Order: sequence, then structure tokens, then C-alpha cells
Amino acid sequence: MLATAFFTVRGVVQFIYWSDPAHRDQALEPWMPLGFVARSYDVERDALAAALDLSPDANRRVPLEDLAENRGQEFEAFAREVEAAIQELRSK
Amino acid sequence: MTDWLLAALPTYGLPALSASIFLACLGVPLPASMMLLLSGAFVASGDLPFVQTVLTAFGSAVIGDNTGFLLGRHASGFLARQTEAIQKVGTYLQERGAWAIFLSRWLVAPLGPAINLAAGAGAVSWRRLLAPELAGEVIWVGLYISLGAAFGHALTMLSDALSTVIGLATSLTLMALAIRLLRQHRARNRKSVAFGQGS
Repeated sequence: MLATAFFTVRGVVQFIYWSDPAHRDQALEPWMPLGFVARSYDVERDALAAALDLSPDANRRVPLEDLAENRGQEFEAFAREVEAAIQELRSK
Repeated sequence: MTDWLLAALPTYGLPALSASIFLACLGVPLPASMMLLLSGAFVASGDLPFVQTVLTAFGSAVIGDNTGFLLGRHASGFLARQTEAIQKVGTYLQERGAWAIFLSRWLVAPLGPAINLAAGAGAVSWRRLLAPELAGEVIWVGLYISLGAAFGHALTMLSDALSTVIGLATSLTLMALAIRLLRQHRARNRKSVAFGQGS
């Protein structure tokens, strides 16, 4: 019965949390491939790759972490670039 | 741990999915459902091939379930002390357990590994297990891949919501089960008291 109460409360808390649209954009994580990021943020995958000077085909299923490493960047720096590129694509 | 596993999916692809589903069917606490949702999202984003992903997930789940069943069957000798309880569960599963087996693949998924073991140990016939097991895994794989593909942009939200629903369903099932056992126990006590007075 305690467990049922716990899951009910949890459901309500989650509903309130996710009702805020600001919580819905998922933060970039090192494991995410570029195509996944593009889909998450609703931008064209090829456009996003092009904005980052990456070839669209070479980057299937490569996590952001590895993309950053290939460019000789820290993940955080690369993630900021990706975010900036997404903002620019969205504002177009 | 979860992050590490999620990272294994883009890096190692389907073998990572297969291993986590197989182990989760045996009761190893891995976020296999989350992996399956993510696979659905990767299918939608073109990072994983659709047919192979579905077949891998389904095959690994079926092999995992049947391994649990076989483990239960061959380990039952070690469980001699609990034979009576296991026989009861086995008889129940054999006679009326199709729904229990079917639902424990997806809706009350946390009970799946225990049911596999109990079915094996309780001498449930393999033919009895197979149909509801296959049907349940079809629902599990179909549901999670499609949800992942449709709502991949809100994966954390989706996974939170699903685990709450599954948690609720599981705790309600256990509660109902406990109430039923308690009632049976009381009824039996009453009967034996009445019998004692009569003699």
C-alpha cells in the first residue's frame, strides 16, 4: 500500500514538473548521437551537421562525446556550439 | 550506471541492447525498458535499422525468459524447503496463469523474472509458458519501440511516466495478491477453529 501511495504521489509530481515546457528540452548529454539531438530539438539533421561542418553520413550513431574528441574539443565546448547551431537553425 | 548503459547503445549498437535485455529477463537490475525506448528513438532518427532492432529485442527477451525458466526448472532441487509454495504457484500458473505470464512481460514487468523462475521450478509445462510469453514480449517490444520512436524528443519524460505506470500496476497487483492471501488465511483459520470446537 505504501508503494502504491509512493507511485501515485510520484505521478502527480511528475505531471507538474513536465507541465512546464522549459523542462521538456532535454539537455545535451555526451552519449547522444547528432541525429538524435536533431530529432529531439526538431531541427533538420543534415542542416545541423552542416552548421557544425560535419558530413551527414560520417556521423551516424557517433556520440557527441566522440565527435568532440575528433575535433579536439572538450565535450562542454562542443555542446555549446551545438546549442548555438540549434538556436540559429530554429530562428531561421 | 544508466548513463553508461545509454552511451553503450550508440557505441556498441544492437549487441548492447541484446545483452541488457537478456540480463534484465534474468532479474539483473538493468534499465532494459529505457534501452528499448532509446532504440526506438534511434530507429526514428536513422541511427539503428528498424527490422534488426525489433528482431534483436524480441529474440533476446524470449531467450532471456526461457533461460530463466530453465534455471528455475534445474535449480528447483536446491529449493526443496519451499517446494510446497512453489508447487502452488506452479499449479496456479499451469492452470490459470496465462494472463499472469502475459502481463508480467510488459504491464507488471518487474515481476517477469520471478515468474519465469517460479514457472520453471513449479513444473509448468514449456508449452503452457510459450504462447503468453511470446505474446507478452511482442507487446513489450512493439510498445516501447513505437513509443520511443514517437516521443524520442521527450525520452526522460516518457521513461519517467512509464516507470510510474508500471510501478503503480505492480504495487497494486502485489497489494491485491496480499489481500487475497490474507483472506484465504483467515478463512482457513476460521475453519480450523470451528472444527476444533465441534470435536
